[in-house]
Amino acid sequence: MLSVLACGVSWAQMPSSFDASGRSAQSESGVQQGDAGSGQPAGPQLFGMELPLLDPSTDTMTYNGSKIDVGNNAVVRARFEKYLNQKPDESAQSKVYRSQINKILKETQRYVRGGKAPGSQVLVNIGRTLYDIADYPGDGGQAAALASAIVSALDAQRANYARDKESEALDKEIEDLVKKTNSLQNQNTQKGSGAGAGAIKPAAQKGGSSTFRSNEFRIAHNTSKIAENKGLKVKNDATNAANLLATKTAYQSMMVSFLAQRRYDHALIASRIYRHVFRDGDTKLNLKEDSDLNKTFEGIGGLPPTVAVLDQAASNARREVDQNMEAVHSLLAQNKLSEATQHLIEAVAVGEYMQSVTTFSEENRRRIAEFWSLRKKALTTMNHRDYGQLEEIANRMKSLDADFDDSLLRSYCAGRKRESDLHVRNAMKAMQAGDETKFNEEIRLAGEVWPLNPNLDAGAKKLEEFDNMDPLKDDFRDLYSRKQYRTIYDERDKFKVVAIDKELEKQYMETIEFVASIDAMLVQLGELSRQDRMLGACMAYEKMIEFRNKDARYADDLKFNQALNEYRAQAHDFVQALVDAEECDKKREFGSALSCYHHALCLYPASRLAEEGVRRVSELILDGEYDGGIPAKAEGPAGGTGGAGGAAD
Amino acid sequence: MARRRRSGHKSGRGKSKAPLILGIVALVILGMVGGRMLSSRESSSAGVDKNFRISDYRKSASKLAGNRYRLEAKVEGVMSRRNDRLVVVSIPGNPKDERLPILVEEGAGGNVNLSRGKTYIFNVECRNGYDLNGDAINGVLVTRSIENKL
Repeated sequence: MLSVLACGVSWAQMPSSFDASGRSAQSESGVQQGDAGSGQPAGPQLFGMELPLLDPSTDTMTYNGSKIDVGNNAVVRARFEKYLNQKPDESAQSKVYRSQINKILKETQRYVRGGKAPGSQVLVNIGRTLYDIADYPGDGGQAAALASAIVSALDAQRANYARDKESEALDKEIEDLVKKTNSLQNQNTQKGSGAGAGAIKPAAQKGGSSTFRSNEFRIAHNTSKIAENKGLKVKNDATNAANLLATKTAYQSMMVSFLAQRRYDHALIASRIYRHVFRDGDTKLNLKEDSDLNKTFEGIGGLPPTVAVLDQAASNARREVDQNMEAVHSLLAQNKLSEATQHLIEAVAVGEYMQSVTTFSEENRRRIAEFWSLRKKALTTMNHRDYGQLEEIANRMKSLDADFDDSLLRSYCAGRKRESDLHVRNAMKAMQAGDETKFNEEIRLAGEVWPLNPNLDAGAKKLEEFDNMDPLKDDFRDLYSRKQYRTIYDERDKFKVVAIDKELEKQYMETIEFVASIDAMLVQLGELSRQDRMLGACMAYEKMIEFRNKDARYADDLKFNQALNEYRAQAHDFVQALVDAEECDKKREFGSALSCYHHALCLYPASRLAEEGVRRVSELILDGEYDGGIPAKAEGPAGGTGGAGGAAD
Repeated sequence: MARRRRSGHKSGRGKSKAPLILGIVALVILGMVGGRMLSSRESSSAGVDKNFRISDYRKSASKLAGNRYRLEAKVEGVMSRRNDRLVVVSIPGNPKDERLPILVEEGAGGNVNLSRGKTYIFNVECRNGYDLNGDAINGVLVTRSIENKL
């Protein structure tokens, strides 16, 4: 029983370090630094890694040297979940029960305040009422036990009273016997000497009359009877004392049991009528010295524990529970689920059978149950190191309660994720360096920290690619040297792995970007040429020529060349004008070349190639001399002047 | 004429042939004057090479070196360098998207003020030349004179 009471008291003072609000109630920081400065790792370690495992013995979770208390012990959790899943007790029987209990509490309160002391009949009536409501299942038989205790105490008092009466009769009988004995002794003294009283004559002692002898016998009988009665009286007193002590002890045990079982109403009723049941004025609790219970109820300054202390404890507990329930209702109205849950846990732990707790509405229980289940899931998920899901749970809890402090969960998840990703990154580096052993080690570490890290799949894929990389590298080098950029691009997923090699990474990336840019350009030019078939084709052709002149790689791309041929056919006249211009240019027939460029401009007025040709050739013509003289170098057609920069082909 | 017509009424029957003769004479005179005027109008376009094809020039300007042409051409663009001008013209009878470059050296234009969009008569000669480095330049049409087209 002592352990039960201790448990009850500990519930009343229940710590909740990792409480429903997600932070430590033992320390405002939410985290207790475990073994700081001791130099010893705070938590269990596996493979050199600290595990965020839940310790069921202390209900704490250890991570990175810090202990995060999960708040409640398993018993409280189980009872709280049972409570949340129960419906509020609103039956007619429960209402009658609560009404009768309240009535008795109210009545006994009057006696505490110093009103008229209740007679035995009142106490009997209280016992009867308690018997009447004892059938209610929620009472758990406590009312019947209290009624029995009251009746037993009253019966014991009656028995003591009867013994007291018997002792009084014995006293009177003793008194009578003493008187008679004295009278007989006086008679014998007077018959023997006739002198003063008390003087016994030797003659009378030696022989005497028959009266004398008769008196002597009667005196002896009376003396014996007196002694017998005195013995009986002493026995009665001893019986009464023992009986009273036993009854008190039983009654006090029951009161303490009520308190331990958190039946505060019953404890209050029992303590309030105690001094009326036992009217000897002794309210000291008969607790064994040095017991836990005695220490618990030991008054301030080492004074002996009394019934009043027990009464006070029960009253305080009731007030505490009612205040917690008021807070729960208020917080729920503000949608602050985490704090409401915390207060409800405390209320249930301290006063599970209190009326304010048992009548808590089903809807509110469901709201808190949802939040509570998320909290439980968060702990489980944390234990399983599923940080992705843990973040989702934190989000859900935050959505239910905007005031929920999810910083601990988030920072914890972020830290572990980063740690795992760091190992993955190290693994990738090791792969690039060709260090397969380190790669395996880092991947293993990453998996231990965060088993469901999505980057681990990428790592596994990389490992597979790692094994197949060498032949691919050869293929890539071969295609690149033969300028088969389009082939590399078409099989870019296959060749992607070669980018792990620093040497080939740049070539791979350049090739992919280059071919992709060709495709993008062709799509864009196709759109423009569709808008205006003639001018669009001219423009596309000219653009492609410009690109080809800037980068010779374009000429190696099959798709580019196919498109160029298509646009060349569509813009035939324009292309031919440019070709003719270039040929004339080469023959230094600048007049003809200029005419051709102008012809091209007429066909495609925005042509930059033709424009540039016109400008250049015009200047050449204007700079020339045509006076009929023959310069030293003027020996017929000479080589070209460079033409239009390879405008046409 | 009206006076000549009135004098015809005064001559009577013998004189009835006189108006006829005068009319014939007047017609002859009018015909001569009209013909003269027409002939003078045609004189600015006279001798124009209407069969000149720009496409032929583009194909082989070198082969035309030394040839002279009288071309009626509309100025499409002018580029100047010092006092020389390079005129780009279009020629009637050729496709509208064909252009012919004609070099107008200093003084060759006389008093003619070349304006874009106007038509002139260009007396040109296809010449070979050389550039500043002494390299040949073949088949450039150089203006000998320019006439306003009436």
